[in-house]
Amino acid sequence: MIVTNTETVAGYRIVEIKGLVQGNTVRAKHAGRDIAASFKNLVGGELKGYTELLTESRRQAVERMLGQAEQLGANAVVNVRFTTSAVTAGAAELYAYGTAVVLQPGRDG
Amino acid sequence: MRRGAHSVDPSEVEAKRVLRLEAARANVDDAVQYSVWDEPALSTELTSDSDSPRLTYADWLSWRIETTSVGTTWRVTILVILAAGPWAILGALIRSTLFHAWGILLIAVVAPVVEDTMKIAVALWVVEKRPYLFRSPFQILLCCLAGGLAFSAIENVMYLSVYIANPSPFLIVVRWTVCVVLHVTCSLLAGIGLVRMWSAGIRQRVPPKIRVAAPWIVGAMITHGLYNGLVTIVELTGHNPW
Repeated sequence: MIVTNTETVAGYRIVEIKGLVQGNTVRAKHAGRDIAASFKNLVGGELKGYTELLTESRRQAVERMLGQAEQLGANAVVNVRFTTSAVTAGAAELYAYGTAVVLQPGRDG
Repeated sequence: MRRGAHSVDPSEVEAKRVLRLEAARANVDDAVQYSVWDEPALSTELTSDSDSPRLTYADWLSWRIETTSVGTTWRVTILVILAAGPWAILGALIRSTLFHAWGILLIAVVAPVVEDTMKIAVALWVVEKRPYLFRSPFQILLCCLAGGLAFSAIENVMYLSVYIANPSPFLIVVRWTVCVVLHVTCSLLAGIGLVRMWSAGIRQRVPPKIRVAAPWIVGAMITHGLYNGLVTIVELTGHNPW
């Protein structure tokens, strides 16, 4: 599966558009990680627990988006975008969307 | 341009591990939530030629209803009835905390909201997430009845043995009759809402909507709140019948 945030893919042409695909998630770490992060906040540096949280959320949102693209029989998702929301405190909320397409090697035109 | 290799985010490895574990636990009941075939943005004109299997909520629900035996639905009903007890304890604890920490107005507002939610919480989860696990409205009403009975029994024990020293025989009788009837009535009112929510979902093969049940659940809360408010006003005006 080709995933790109550009509208076209060099060396390929879009032969079919399958439609909008999307994936979202709202994730949180357990209370222990929240407490540890609040202590780390005092001394500064990377809050690794929250970095993990954001990474997990991003990957899960992308996987769900790709799952929808597979259901549609697409072999690529172009024009991928990410956005966040604010549903609840202490959680990472990711929304990924793009256009599912069928690509074939070759040039447009 | 920087010289040397850039470091890779170590959280990617951990995230991969965590998501792999979660994926191993996932099943078709979870997958249906993320299926593209129920998306409002799906362009059917673009996907009509797709030959991949189409997982829709309607198909999933029909399949689940067909493959779930009546025996299983009764086992689930019994489990929900048994779970009503622990949830009722939690509800009673939250309620007692609220009563001691906050004022009179909340006795008639917050307490009914918490209690009437907790009494039907387990049954509501099943109706909303796994509606095929109930086969008839009777099972749902039975779960709500059990929730009301369990809650009132636990509340009475807490009241009459912990919070109130030397309760009068009249109070004991009132608590085991009027209060039990009140809790059961409110639970059954909310249960009617759950039945309507469940029936609409099963009939139309769509996810059950809480807004269908909301008027009945709110009605139960208002009935409960009116009773609580009335009793509190009577007590505050010096006409304490207990």
